[in-house]
Amino acid sequence: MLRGKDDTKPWAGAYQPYDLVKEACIAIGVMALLAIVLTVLFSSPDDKPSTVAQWSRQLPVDFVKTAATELDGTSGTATYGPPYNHNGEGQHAAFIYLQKWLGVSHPINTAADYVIGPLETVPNDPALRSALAEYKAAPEKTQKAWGEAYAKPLEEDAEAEEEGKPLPKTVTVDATTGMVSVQASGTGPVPTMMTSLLSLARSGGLDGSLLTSKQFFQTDYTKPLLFMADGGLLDKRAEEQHLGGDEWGMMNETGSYPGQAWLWLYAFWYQIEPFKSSENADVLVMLIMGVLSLAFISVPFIPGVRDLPRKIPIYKLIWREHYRAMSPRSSA
Amino acid sequence: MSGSRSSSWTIKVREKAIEALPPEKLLPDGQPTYVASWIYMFGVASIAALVVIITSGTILALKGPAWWHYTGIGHFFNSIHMWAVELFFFVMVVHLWGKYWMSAWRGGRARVWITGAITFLVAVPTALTGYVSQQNFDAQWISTQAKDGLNSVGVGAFFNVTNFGQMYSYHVLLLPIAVVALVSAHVLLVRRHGVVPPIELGKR
Amino acid sequence: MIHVLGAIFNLSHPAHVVHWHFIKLPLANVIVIGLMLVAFAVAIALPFPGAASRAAARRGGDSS
Repeated sequence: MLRGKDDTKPWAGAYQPYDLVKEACIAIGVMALLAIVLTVLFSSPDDKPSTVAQWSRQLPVDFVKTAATELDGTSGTATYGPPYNHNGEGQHAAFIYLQKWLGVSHPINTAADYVIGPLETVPNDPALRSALAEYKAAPEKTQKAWGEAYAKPLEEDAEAEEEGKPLPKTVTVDATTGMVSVQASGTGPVPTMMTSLLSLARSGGLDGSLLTSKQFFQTDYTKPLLFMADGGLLDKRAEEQHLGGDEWGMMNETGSYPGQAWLWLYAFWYQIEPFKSSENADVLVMLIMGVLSLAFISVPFIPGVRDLPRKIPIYKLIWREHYRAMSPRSSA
Repeated sequence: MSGSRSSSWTIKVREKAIEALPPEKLLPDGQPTYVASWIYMFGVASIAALVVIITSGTILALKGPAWWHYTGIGHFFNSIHMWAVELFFFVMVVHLWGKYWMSAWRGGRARVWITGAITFLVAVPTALTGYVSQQNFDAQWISTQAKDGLNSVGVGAFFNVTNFGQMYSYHVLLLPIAVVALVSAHVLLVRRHGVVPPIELGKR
Repeated sequence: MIHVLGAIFNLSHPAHVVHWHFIKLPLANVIVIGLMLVAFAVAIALPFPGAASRAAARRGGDSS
């Protein structure tokens, strides 16, 4: 049953001279030439990476809002769960919690790693030092209340901007210094901390701090990347380049270059329900693609799929010369 | 001392290899007369594209991952590498279409199909690790997006697309070794079994 | 800043997106996929050189 009806006999017929080595050399020459021609015609894209410094200068309110959520533990990374922390269970498919089961392998404490840690490296700032001491000494409930009070006007500002409504006056940006002011009460030392963090970011110091916090030599950009991904700058650039998931983005390249057309089936599922609006879209799509990949490998053993080529006889076109030669008329 | 011939591993391996693939089967100078279509060119075209990818990739690796961002010649080789990848997937998928519609797994050739399918499936993460190693905006975006899919199935716990060092290692060494090994197995199996004969007409 | 060196055609501008029902693809990807289908069809349709040599081999009953 697995093998199906396969009566393919070894070929006992004629052979033609065929130079495989010459064919391979010609193929390499042709492919190399095609690649060179395409290079000369179109080159390749190289959009410069965003930095935390650029983010803090171009979108200061978004930066401060994101930093506030990192501090109060409500950001995307803070609530992500494994492999970064235990603050969420991650995605699941029915009872399968692979994300949770594989555990936290790259721990990130967003408040410590993105805010308090970097601020502690800032020298000669007594006001900041005192604000940090006050924050660290406060009970968790108080820290949370300060964070929420500070974040509320920022969230309202972001919502208004997204909906195209007039921005509330509680959040302002100084046009000269780029500093953000948030009008709110009950925020404790948080405004001082956020202002200092924004300064640190604008100077480029936060980029370096996030990268070299563990050791001098670094090749792991997880921390700064996750921080930026929690904010709006990467999203903004991606939207401009049609790289978003809701528009088949994983198939696309920046600019007008061809991208990864081979990811069409993977991108497809995200465009339809129930995946489009599911919180577990990623795991569901990955599992479907896993099953389909196994099926792809197993085509020779799947009834129906392995029989389709006989039902839609494209093979008759491919081997037409052979069939003509083998027909009784041709041997007459 | 060499030991007796019957217990020599070297002789056993050599004789098995020659039995499976005698020289005239490994590098035949003829092909069945039914090999008579341009569709047959897409297999060797895939290998050819892979050669261009590896050559251009080797040049990029010689100068390190930052080189292509600040020199014209580096950017030139990066472009060749990128277009060779596009060409590789192009010809490999057309090759796959051809082989499917020919039912090329017939006559005991299931392993040829299997190694080919796995090659495609391994080529996809090989390309992904390249995309996230570019050290530009594209790499930032792709890595911060791809991490969600991989984390959701627990793979992110040991394969971190935002870890440039790890991704570069996979891309430059580990995955190319896997692709070349799979392609070699695939081609040797084709040489062993021969190119699949045409489907017989008049049968169901 | 977008840096593209020496290309004859500058593709460093946001893509033109082709919309068809729920499918949204940049033009470059549509062209690639289209060319693949064309290549497949043309590869099958075009006659392959060496027909005379193959016919001679069949007549000669050559089996190497």
